[in-house]
Amino acid sequence: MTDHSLSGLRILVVEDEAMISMLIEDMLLDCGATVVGPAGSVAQAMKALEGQEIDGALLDVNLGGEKSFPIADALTERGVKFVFSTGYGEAGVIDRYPHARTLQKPFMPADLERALAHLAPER
Amino acid sequence: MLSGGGEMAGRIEAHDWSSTPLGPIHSWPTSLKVAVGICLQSSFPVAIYWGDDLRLIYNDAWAPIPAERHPWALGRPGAEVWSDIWNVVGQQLQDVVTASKGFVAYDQMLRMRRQGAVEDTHWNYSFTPILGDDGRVWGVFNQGHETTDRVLHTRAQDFLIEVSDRLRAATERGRSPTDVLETTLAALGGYFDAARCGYCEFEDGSVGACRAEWRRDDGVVSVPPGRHDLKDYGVAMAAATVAGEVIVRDDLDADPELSDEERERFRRLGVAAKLVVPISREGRAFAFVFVHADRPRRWRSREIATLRDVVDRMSFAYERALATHRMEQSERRFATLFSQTAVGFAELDLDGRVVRANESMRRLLGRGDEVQGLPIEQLLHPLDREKWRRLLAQNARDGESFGIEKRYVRPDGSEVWAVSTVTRLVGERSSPGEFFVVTIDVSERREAERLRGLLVAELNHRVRNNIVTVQSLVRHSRINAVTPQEFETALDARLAALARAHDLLMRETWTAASLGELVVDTLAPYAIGREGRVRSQGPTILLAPTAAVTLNMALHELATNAAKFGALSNEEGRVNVSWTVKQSAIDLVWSESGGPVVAPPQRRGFGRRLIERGATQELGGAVTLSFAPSGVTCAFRIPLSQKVMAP
Repeated sequence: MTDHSLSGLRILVVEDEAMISMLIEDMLLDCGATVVGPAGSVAQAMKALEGQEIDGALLDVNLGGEKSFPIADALTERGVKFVFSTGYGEAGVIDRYPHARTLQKPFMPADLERALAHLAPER
Repeated sequence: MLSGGGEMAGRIEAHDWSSTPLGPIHSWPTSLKVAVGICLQSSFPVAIYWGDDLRLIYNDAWAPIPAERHPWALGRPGAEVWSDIWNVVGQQLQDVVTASKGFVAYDQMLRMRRQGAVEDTHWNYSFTPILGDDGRVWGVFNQGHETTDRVLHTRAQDFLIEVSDRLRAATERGRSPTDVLETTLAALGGYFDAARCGYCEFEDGSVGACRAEWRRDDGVVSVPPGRHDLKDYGVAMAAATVAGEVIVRDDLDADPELSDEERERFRRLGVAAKLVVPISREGRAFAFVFVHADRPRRWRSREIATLRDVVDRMSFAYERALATHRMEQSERRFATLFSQTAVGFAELDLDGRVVRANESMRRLLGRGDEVQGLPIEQLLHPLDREKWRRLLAQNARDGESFGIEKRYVRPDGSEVWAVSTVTRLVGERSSPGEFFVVTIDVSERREAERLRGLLVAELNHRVRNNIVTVQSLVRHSRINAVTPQEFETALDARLAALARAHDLLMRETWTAASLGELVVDTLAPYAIGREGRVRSQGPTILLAPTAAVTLNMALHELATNAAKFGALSNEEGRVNVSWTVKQSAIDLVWSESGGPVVAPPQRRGFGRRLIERGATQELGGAVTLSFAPSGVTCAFRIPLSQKVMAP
């Protein structure tokens, strides 16, 4: 699977719904990435970030009542790029991260791969 | 004595005096001859009453006074000639004779019958005693002339002034318009010494209804209430009245135009003479005033003119009173509406400052009396002021009313959405007047719209997440299945479980689901045909939608496994699901017993992964899944949170 664009990338997955996070995890694994998490809350994500080097992140905006913005801020601080995954009606709230890409649910494995490909370092 | 004495000299000469107490002319005493000489030579009306029964001798100028009684009156006793007024003049003459003293009367009223009608006449006259040789009064020298016209003229003038005064008082604020009619009719009744007078309005052709009536209070009957057709009281008179002509009848009983039946109708009402003056507008009579007398009388042209004048003044005042009354009523209605309505009313001057605002408007603005004089623009949300100014400017150009939806800011800083309709009233001489603003609070509607927007967004969000969930179910069912048949069966069962979870949430309009119901619903397909083998119990726990879906799928996976390999795969095994709450967490235990001996699974399947991930990552808790030979046990420990709530 060396031809996969995400090979060797360590991706933090933040998604609170178990079944959805399982799907994303599997999709990423299929693309050759290493999954960090998945985290279901801001607290879990912050914990996962401690002492771990990551290359990028996929953040669900709405985590069952809380927003994933603290994670986005922490990532920005570390210079880690990330992609938001959104359901609907969140376009307005992520305006504050104009450089972040967004991936709207539902998405196909290829969409996910494309969205995360830009996180890969130049090679 | 008789020479140069005119027509009357001839009549006196020709009269047979010998059959009277005066005796033949040549035998008359000198005093009489002298008096008759003066009388006949006079150009002024002069009469002489002579002898004990006061026989009448008069000159040409006096002859019209007794009207149709001339020339019959010559030589007859005063009492016989003046039977109608003798109660007055008889007494006066007697006093002159008795006292031997002259008498003078000015504007003396004498109710006299002339040309078949009784009329009130007025006179200036004097009675001068003529003394005989013996010093006694032998006769009375009478000079006089009629002043009726002048008296009536003066009375009419006074009457018109009185009517004007009465009308002024009757049209003061707060008086009813009928006061105008009633005060005028009462004045007319007195002026004409009438039995009855009234004001009627035409309703349909010659049919009219009496709106106001005055009656002399000595038993005069009222006109029967309701509508009357004037044709029942003489067709010609009805036509003339409708045509706007003045009707003058001195003696209805002798009116040849009337049928016996019509005459009888007048008699029953006690009407002997009448006067009718129609009131016209734009050439059409719409009402009339009538004056009834209960005895025949002559209506003088002066009186008719006075009546017309008064009717004119009355109808003008009545119309004005009606208009004032309508306006007062309309003002009262408006004032009530203004103060009582739940709708906000405000009047703004041309600069947009509040002139008046009703209670509802003040409540809406959250302000009291201080709102007066404030520019309404200042009360608007800064973002809505431009729109307001633009619409107001547009109105200044085209005068068209406009509607505007905008926010007011209350003194406490809260905002209220309101819809207003703004209309510019027309001022004096068509100049622009003030603005009238009708406002309703639409905050509730706005809030409902906002909630609906949120709801639609939320629903869309859930639908999209659901599709991803289905995507996940498809993928995992495919990976774990050996045959397409197995894949289809597993996927169908999982989709059915997902649908059940949604049914449950739908019942609560997607707010929260009860754990108890969720367990029962999830296990229901497995309880069929296994009476008493599937049980669940625990206190009330509410689950947020996503937590409900995940727990539902986890329980579904446990149940499917039990049906395939565990307690529900034989005839006597049991499943017990129970939960308790302690230390801000719930302990939920799935425990199987009585099934075949359990062997730990060879690989971690979708179910196990979902259970573990759901419990830990999604719900922040922990789970222990054990495959003891006596039966599968799955123990969840889930902290209470926004997703899992104990009420």
